[in-house]
Amino acid sequence: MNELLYLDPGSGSYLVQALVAGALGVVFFFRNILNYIKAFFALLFGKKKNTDPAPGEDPTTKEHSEKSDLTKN
Amino acid sequence: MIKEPSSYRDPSGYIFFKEGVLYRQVNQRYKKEYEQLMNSGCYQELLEKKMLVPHEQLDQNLTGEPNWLTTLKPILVPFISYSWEWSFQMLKDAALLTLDIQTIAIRHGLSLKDASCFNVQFFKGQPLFIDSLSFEFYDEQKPWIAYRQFCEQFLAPLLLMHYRKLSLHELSLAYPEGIPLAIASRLLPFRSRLSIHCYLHIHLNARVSRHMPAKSGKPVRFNRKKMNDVISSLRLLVNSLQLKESSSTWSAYYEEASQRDNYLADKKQLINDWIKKISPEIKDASDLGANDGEFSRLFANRGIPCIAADLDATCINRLYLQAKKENNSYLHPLIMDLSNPSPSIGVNNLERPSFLERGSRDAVMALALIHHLAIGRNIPFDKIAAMFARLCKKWLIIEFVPKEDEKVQFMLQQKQDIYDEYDRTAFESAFNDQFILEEKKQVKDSCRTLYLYRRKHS
Repeated sequence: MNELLYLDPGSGSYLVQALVAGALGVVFFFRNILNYIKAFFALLFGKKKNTDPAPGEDPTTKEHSEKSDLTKN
Repeated sequence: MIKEPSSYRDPSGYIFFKEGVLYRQVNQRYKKEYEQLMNSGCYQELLEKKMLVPHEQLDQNLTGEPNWLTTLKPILVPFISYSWEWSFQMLKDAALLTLDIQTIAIRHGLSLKDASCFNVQFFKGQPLFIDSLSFEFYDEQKPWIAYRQFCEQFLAPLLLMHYRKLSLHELSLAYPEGIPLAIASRLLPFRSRLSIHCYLHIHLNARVSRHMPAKSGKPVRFNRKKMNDVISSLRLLVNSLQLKESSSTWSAYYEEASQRDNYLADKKQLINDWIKKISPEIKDASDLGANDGEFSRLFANRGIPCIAADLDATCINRLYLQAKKENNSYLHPLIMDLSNPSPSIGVNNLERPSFLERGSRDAVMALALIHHLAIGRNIPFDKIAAMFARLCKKWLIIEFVPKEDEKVQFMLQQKQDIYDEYDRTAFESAFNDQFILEEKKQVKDSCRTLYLYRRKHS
């Protein structure tokens, strides 16, 4: 028996997630292209680099993701 | 042995107390997952990053149960708080911690099987994940089982606060299992749909779930990239959220109060002397009506952990951010309305104890609070004294603000003066029932009095 049934992921939660993930694939695909273009122009004009983490990039390998937040507030 | 009343959901193990010590039993059925957590390097990495509660493994069956695998002795988090007592930034940090743990877990072949606010506690000024049995094996083919729970428990309240520019921590009390997405979707303004991430995780999620058959025959295909995209999207969204600060009634209190001559300096000096005097006897404290925590720091500076509670969410949010910036590990900001402290809720009303059951500390401080309870909320002195008696184990520092005080006068301008009983004598007599007066001092340039009381022991 599946041990995790007690969690009740909710009807259709898996399906929704698959849908969301599909849409995100498209979103991040274009976002990546946009980032490349931005980076290219930034390089061209010697501007500061875009610091947004790239999608799929793992911020936990660098520093704790909330640190950068502090400066904002 | 006493089983922790909230530890009943997960058959992998449970929390119990034996002779006052907290333990976690791991059951046989969780053997493989537990080994993966400990041997994959996941536990080690989470520990190094101070994300997961450290434990000591005892190979001793303390419960005598046949399905016992091992016993863990986790470090004790001295004060348990709930999301309805957290400020916006606290909930946001708890959300980010959950996502970071999921990312790390995946790297080690594990995945979080739940994403509940109750699994996060604030310890030494930082969010800490306290459920070491929340991990299951990561199956690339499967979506994140805790996805919806994350959306309901973290994302929905954060988004509502962000878009509505209000602190809505109380909503979590109404929906302790998370705000149902259909409700969150309707409460959010239309423009929240313009954010693609918010649209997908809340609005689409709510809409599709409503029309989805309970069971679908088709297996869902998922992969690692999709999982990473979902986590990245949630992280991007959470990171982008903020609670725009509106100036609240209390947020400029000390700026204004500090203009009152020597009042603040003298008060600080007096209290600091008292704390110095009682500090050998106390190991923890709470400052009720803490505002921006200026006085809570008098405890913190001496290395005494202090709960800084106030009903003003803006003040508490600011205090949390400030304490975090300073790396202050002794302050625990908390939103609390003392005229209506958090109730006990959950199964048999035992699962999440009330603030009065959780919050008692060796020393309690209540400065410029009494008139808000007695006059602002019409609470008689004996009821207030009874509450402090429950919250205070040894020492109470309390300020009496008489009717002549300009702040009280200001309050009385807005309401009828029905408070004939509100005077020093009545105050002292109510507190004398529960406490023994140790010292009493007038604060310079004011008509206020500070009392140092010792708790009577029955």
